[in-house]
Amino acid sequence: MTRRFVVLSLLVGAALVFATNRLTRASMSPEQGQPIPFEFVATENSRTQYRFLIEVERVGFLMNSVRDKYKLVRMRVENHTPTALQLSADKDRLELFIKDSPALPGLLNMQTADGPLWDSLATPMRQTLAYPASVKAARAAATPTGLPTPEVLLLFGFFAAQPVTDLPAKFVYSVESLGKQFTLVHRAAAARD
Amino acid sequence: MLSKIWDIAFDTLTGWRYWAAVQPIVLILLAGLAGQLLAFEYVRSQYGLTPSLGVFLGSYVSQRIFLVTTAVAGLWLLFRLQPGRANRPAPGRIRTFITTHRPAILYRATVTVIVLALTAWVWVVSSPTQVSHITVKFMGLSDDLRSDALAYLVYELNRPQHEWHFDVDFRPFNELELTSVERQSCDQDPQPLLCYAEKMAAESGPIIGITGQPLNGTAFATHRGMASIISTADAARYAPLSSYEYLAYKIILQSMLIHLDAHGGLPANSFVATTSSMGGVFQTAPDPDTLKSTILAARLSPEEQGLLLNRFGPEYLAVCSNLLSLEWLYDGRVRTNLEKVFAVKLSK
Repeated sequence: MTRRFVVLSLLVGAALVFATNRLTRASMSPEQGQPIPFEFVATENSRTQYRFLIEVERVGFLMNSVRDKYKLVRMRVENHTPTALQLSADKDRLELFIKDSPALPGLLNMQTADGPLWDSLATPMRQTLAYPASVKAARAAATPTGLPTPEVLLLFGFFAAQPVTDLPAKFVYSVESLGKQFTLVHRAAAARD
Repeated sequence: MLSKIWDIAFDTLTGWRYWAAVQPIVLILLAGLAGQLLAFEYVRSQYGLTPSLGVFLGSYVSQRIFLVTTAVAGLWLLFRLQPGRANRPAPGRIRTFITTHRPAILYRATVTVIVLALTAWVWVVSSPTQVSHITVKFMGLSDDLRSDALAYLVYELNRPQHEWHFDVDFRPFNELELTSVERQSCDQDPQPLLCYAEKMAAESGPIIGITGQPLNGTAFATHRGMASIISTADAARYAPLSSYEYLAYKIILQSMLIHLDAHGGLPANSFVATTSSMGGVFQTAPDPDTLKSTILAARLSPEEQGLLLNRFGPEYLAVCSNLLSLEWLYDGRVRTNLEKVFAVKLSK
């Protein structure tokens, strides 16, 4: 009787330890927790001209939305050229692609796209989120490398939240003033390809 | 000679049978006159300002001295007339004294309080106003202008100021920051940029915007309430003056307009369309090409000096007069800095 109790206790204890171990592992590995970088580097004569980078945080992107209506994406734009990069909220385009789904157009001008939501934001937030008119020219070289210091700017795009059911596969950013479009792909995936 | 005249006048006065009666009043008036002279000298030495006699006598400084002199003279007269002296009680009997002289005491106390209250009220009301700081914002500069050189120019404008200053907002102007309602209302405004500036001013205080865009039929600058926009689109009209000279002049002028508008309004008949001009800074140039003449000979009329002196004090007037003259800009240090550091050449 005593032996059976001891064996049962050991079995229950082992089960508890196993279960606890499994339960406490409800987190992501550090690699999985890293944001996914989507990047495009525009070069000319092997010199960088522009660099565009969007980092998507896996869980945050899928779970969070602005007022349950929009997914917010932040793009880092680097201008390495000696001329300012002119932008236009109404003419430039940012598109998101999920696997084989059609492109989801991003909203760069929330002032006209969703006035009530835009108006409800505080002034400092509108100042941060407003699509810029330009990215200044790179500053002249002041380093021993002789390379100009790029001008960096963060800009934001809004995507309707409902169709975004999975992580993006790529982004396509079109700049009217350059007459070009840039495909931002996952850096690691691009390296594999 | 003068001392002889003084001696004769003094002897005549002291020989006059009513001299003893009027002597205190004469002394009070002389003290008031001395006060006026001292104040005039103080304004001259402290602020480097030499207002005309009319401007000084019309200023709040002179009016305050006149007010105090009148109040002291009035109070002296009040206490000189002693209707209850005939029934003077024995000394030391305060209660009896008060009881006997109650009407006179009440009368004098009431008049004294009224005179003091009136004097204090006029003193406070005539006090110059503390003006607000102004933000200078670059709202799309033309390609020939350097924002860093312009910022330097604004900082130089701040150097002589002690009571207020300009702030330079380096954040690029973006109309997309406005709410959709603000944007719609501004798009229907004949001066959209001014409207945008007004919206920003409502949140962050007075603002002067500088742009390279033309102003929809308005030459040089436009102003409304707490906002002004200065355009360099008409550079050909003020050439050969550089845009920096033009902007230095215009920024000072627009700051004065903003301050005047916020505290009592612009001078009468300012910027009324006329066919003749004396080159006043608050006048519209009949021919836009004559703006450079106004800039080169910038001055404030005595009426404008009096207005600024009374509204904002002598320091404000002195600083604005000095800045408007642009002598500080052509001064060796500023000119050298502009040329060597920013590669900016002035016209003269």
